[in-house]
Amino acid sequence: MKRYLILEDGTVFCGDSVGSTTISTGELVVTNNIGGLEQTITDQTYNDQIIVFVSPLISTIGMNRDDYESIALSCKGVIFNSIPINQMDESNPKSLAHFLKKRRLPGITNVNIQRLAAHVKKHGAMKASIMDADDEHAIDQIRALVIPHDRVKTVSTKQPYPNPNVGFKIAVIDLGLKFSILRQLSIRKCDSIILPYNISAEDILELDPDAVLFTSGPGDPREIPETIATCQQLEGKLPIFGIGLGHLVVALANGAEIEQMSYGHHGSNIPTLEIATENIEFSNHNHNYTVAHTNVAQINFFITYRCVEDNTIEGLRHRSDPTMTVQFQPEAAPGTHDTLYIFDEFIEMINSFKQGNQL
Amino acid sequence: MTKRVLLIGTTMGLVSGEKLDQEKAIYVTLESFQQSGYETILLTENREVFPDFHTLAQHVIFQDINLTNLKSIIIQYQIDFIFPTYAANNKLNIFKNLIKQGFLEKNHVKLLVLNQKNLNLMISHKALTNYLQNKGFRLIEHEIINKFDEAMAFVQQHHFPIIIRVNNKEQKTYWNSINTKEELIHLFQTTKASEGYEVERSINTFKEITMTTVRDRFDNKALIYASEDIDPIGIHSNDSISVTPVYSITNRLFQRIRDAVLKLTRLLKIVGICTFHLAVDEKTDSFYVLEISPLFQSKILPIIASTGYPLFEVICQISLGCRLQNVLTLDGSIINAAVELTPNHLTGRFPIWQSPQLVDLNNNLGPHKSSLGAVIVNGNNLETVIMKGFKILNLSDDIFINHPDAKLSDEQIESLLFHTSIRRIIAVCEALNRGFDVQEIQSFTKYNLVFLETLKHLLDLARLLEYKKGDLDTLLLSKRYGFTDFLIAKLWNLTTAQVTKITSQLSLNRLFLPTPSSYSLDHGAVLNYYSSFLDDPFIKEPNYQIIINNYPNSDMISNHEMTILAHQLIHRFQSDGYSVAAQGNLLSKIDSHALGDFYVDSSYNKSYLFSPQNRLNIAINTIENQHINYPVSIYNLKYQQQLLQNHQITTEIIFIQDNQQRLWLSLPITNVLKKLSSQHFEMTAIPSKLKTGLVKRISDYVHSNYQNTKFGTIIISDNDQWQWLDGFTINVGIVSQVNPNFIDVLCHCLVGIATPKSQKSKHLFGRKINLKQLANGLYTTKVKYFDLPTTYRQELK
Repeated sequence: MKRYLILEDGTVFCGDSVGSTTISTGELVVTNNIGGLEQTITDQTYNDQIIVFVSPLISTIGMNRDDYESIALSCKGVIFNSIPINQMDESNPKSLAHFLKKRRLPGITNVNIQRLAAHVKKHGAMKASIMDADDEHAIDQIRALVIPHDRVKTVSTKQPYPNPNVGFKIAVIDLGLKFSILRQLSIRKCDSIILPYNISAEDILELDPDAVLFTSGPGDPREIPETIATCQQLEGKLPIFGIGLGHLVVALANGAEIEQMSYGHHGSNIPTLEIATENIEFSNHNHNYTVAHTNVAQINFFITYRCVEDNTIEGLRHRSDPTMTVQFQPEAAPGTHDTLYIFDEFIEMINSFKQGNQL
Repeated sequence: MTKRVLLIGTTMGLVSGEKLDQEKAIYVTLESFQQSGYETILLTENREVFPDFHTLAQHVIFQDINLTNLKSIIIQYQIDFIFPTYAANNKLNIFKNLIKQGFLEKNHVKLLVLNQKNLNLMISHKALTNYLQNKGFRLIEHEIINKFDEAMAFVQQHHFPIIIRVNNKEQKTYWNSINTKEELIHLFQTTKASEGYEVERSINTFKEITMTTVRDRFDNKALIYASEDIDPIGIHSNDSISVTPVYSITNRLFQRIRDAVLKLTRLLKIVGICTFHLAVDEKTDSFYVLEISPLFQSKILPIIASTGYPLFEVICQISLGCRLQNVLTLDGSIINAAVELTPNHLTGRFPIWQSPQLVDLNNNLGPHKSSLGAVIVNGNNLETVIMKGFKILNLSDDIFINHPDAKLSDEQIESLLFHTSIRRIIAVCEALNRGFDVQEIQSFTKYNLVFLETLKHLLDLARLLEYKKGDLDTLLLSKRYGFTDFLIAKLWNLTTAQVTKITSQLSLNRLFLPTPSSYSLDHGAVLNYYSSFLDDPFIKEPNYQIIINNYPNSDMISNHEMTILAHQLIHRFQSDGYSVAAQGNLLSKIDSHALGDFYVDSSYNKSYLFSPQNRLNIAINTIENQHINYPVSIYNLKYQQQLLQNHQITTEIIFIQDNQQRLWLSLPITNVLKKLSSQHFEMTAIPSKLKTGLVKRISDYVHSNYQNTKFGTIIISDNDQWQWLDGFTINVGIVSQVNPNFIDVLCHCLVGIATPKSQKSKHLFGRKINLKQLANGLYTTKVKYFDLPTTYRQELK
C-alpha cells in the first residue's frame, strides 16, 4: 500500500506502508543510527516525532524486547530507507512489521531518504504527516496542527517508583527516562527513586537522596519552568547530574540561554571533544536545542564537551557546586559505550561531596 | 633539515588487483608526505610502478625488500623514518630484526606505526593468543599435542570438526580442517610434526567480521570500517562476499566488539591503522579476535568507495603525529577524520575469480586466498547490492536463466552445498529454486541467514516475473530490487528495448544517489554515486562531472596499463575536487577494487551519459570487444558521432586498446567546442607506432564527417609529423602506446581543461612542448589549454 510523507512546506515523499495504517503527524527528525532500532523507537525523547532512519537494513534480526528503552512508544511514526524482506512479514512475531502493527505505529519504507535528509538539513526541522493521499488539505492540516507543549508531562511518570539497590540514593527526575539510565545506575549499585518532572525541591529533599539526576526528555526545556525552579532550589545542596533535556534544564536554572538548532543532532555516533583531555568520543545525541554560546562565559559554568563538527556546547560543569551536565546521552543505547564513564564521574562526584560534608 | 621517509613498497608476486591497491595507496601517501614537507624514498620490488612515483619520491629504489638492502638504504640515504604500512605481512620479520639488532636506535631511525609489541603479535600466533588471554579476551579452545590419542581426547571434549596445524620447522604449514576420525588418522599418517600439532576447536559456524580502527598518538581513536562476510569463518576473508555496514548482529554485541577493538588498538600502541578479523558467535553473544594487522589491507577499500574517507592521507598524517581531528588532505583542507561510518546505503564487495563461469570452478575455498580481486558496489537495499554484484561478475544468466545445476539430483545439490567451492553459490540458488528451506541451506553452507533470505527473495521475484509476464506490479518490485531491463527481457523473452518501454510506464524513477556518510555529509565531499529505482516523483539529476566509462559489453580480463591509466585519471580528477564515476564491466573486471575510490556501476542507462550534467566523458575501450572490427578508431569515431547527436556533451575522449595491447586515444570531438570556437584546445601526444595508413583513415573520416564543424585536428605521427585539417580550429590529438609520461601529460591536459588549480598544470600552462623530450621522459613544455569561461567553471564547481 502506497503512503505519503507530507512535509509542512508542501514537499511530498512517497513509499510503501509498513506497520499501522493510521494517519499521524509529528516533528520530523533524521537520525543516522546504523543499529539499535528498538532502542531508538522506544526512546521517550522522540516523543511526538516522526523518526527518519537513514541507514538501510537497520533491523535484520527482529525486535528484541531486552533492548527497549521504555514500555510505551511515544514517537509518531517511522520512515525507512529500506527494510529487509524478513522484517516485512507481519505474521512473524519478532518482525519489525509485526511490532509496528501491534504498537499501532505507522511507517513508510522505500522512501528516497537521501532527498528527505537533504531537505531537512537544508530547510530545518519541520512538521510532517504520514497520510494515505497527497491532497491539498493535508498540508493545511499539518500547518494548522500545533505540536503539544507538554511533551515532558506526557512522558514523565505520574507516580514515584523505586528501582532499589544498595548504593547511593539517587532521585531521578523523569523528563523522559530511558531504561538504560537506570541500568547504568544499577550497575553502579545506585538505589534510585524515579520522580515526576513537577516534583518540588522540598519533596525531593525530604527523600534525603545522595544526588539528583535530571534525565533526558523531549521538547523545549522552557516548557517545564517547574523543573527549572526545582533545579535552582537544589543546586549546591546536592550533587546534580543533567542529561540531555536535564542538561538544558540545569543550564537554564543557572541563567544560560538556549537556542533552537536548525535540524538538531540526531545520531548514535556523533564525535564529541572532551575539552580537558582533547580526546574525541562518539556519543548518542538527540536534541534540537542547545545552550547558546552568548552568555556561557558569564554563568558559573565551564564547558566540558563540545561537538567536533559544529562546536555545539555538549557538556557543562559548575565551577564550585557539584553539578555536571551533558547534552548527549552517555548511557548510549543505541550507540557507543565511549561515554559510560560519565556515570562513574557522577558517582565520584557524590563521593567527594559526601566526604566534603563529613569534614 | 628536511626529514627523510623510507616508504616500503610492493613485493613481487602480488596479483594484479592487490598490486594496484597497494600502489594507489603509495601514490597518495607519497603525495601526502611531500605536502607535509618530507622527502620520500620508495623501496619497491616491482619495476612496473606508476610513472608519478618518479616525480613524487626523491628516489625510487628497485631492490628486493630484505634486511641487508634495508640497512644499506637507511645508511646511504640517511633515513629518519620508515613507513611500513604497505609492506607485505611476510616482511614483518625484517622490521622485527631491525629493532632487535638495535639498528634503528643506533642510526636514529624511527619506525612508524609498528613497534616491538605489535610486531611480535602479528608474527606469532602463539604470542597473540597469550597476549589476548592475559588481557581477558576470550580464546578459542586450543592445545599443543604430539600424539593421535591426545588429538582424540581433544575431539571427545570439543567434538569434530577441529582445526589442526602441523608445526614443522622445515616446511611452511597451514591450518587443516578435520571433520572425521579417518581424516585425523590420515593427517597423522602423512605428516610429521617436529614441534607438535596445534589443535583448535573449529569455529566454522561463526560469522566473520572485519573492523578497522585508526588511532593518533594522542589516543584519539575511531572505528572507521566494519564489514560482515557472507561466508562463515574458515574461508579467506577476501574470498567471501562482504557487506558494510555490519547488519546482522545486535547493536549491543556490535558495541561490545567495537569497545574491544578500540581497547586493543590502544593497548598495542598503534599510531595509524589497524584491522581486526573477528569471529562472532551469535548463539552465545561472544566473539574471538582472530587476527590483528596494523598494515594496510585491500579488504577495507570499500570504505573509500562507500564514504570517500581519505584513508591514505589519514594514515600518513596521523603516523607523523597529527591529531585525528586535524588531518590535512591533499587539497589543502583540514578535516576531522575522527568519524564513524553511518552510511545511507550498503556497500558490497564481491570477489572476482579466474573465470566468470563459476560452474566450472570446483576449487576448494579455504584459509588460502583464491580470488583475483573484487568488485565494489553500492545500493540502498541488500537485494540491489547482490544483483549489481552478480551482474558485474556475469553471474546473472547462470543464476536466473540458465540454471546449470538443474540436471543434478537433490543429493548432488546437497553435496555441493556442503562443499566449500567457488561454484557453491550456484548450487545454493538451485537449492532455493527447488524449495529447500533457507534454514536447511544455512545448516549446510553456514552462509549468513539474511543473505540467504535475500537471495531467496530475488529468486522468487525472478520466478514471479516469469509467471506474470508483463505484470507492472511485479516489474515495479523487481526494478526496485535491482533487476535490469536486460535480465527481465530474458525472463520475458522480449528485447531490452521492449522492457525499457514498459518500465517507462512505471512510477519508478532511476535515481543517482550520492553516497554521503558521516564524513562526506559534513564536508560535502561526495565522490561517488549509485543508481537506485525509487518511487520518487522529484528526480534530481546527479551532478556528475566526469564519467569514466568503457564501451558497453567490452571485455578485457587483465590489462595492467589500462587499469593504471583509468586509475590515474580518476585519481587526478578527484584530487582536483571533481566527482568521478566509472561505468562498465571492463573496469570492474580488471581491478575495480583497485580503483576503489570511485563507483563501478554497470547498470545505469547509457542515455544518462548524454545528460547535461556530464561535463566530461571518458571512454576506455578494447579491441577484444567482439562487436568491434578493426580499425577501432574509425568505429569509435562513429560512436563519437552518436554522442555528438546530443547537444549537451562537453567532451568525449576515447581510449582504445588494440589487439597488440597498444593504447590509442582520440579526442576531443565535441559540440560544446563548436560553440566555443574561439577557444583553442591542443592535445599533446607521444608519437609511437602510429601507422600512417590509420592516420590517414582517421583524418579522412574526420574530414569527411565533420567538415562543417569549426574545430580542428592535429595528428601526431611517429616522425613528429603533424597535419592540420583545413577548416578546423580546435585540435584533436591521437596518442598511442602508454609510456611513463603519457599518462602524466594526459592527466595534466585533461585536468587543465577543467581546473586551473592543479599545480602541475600551472607549470605546464602556455609552454611549448618538445615531443622528443616528451618521448624521452622529460616533458618540459606544454601547449595551450582549452579554457572554459569563468561562469561555466563556476557552474562546474
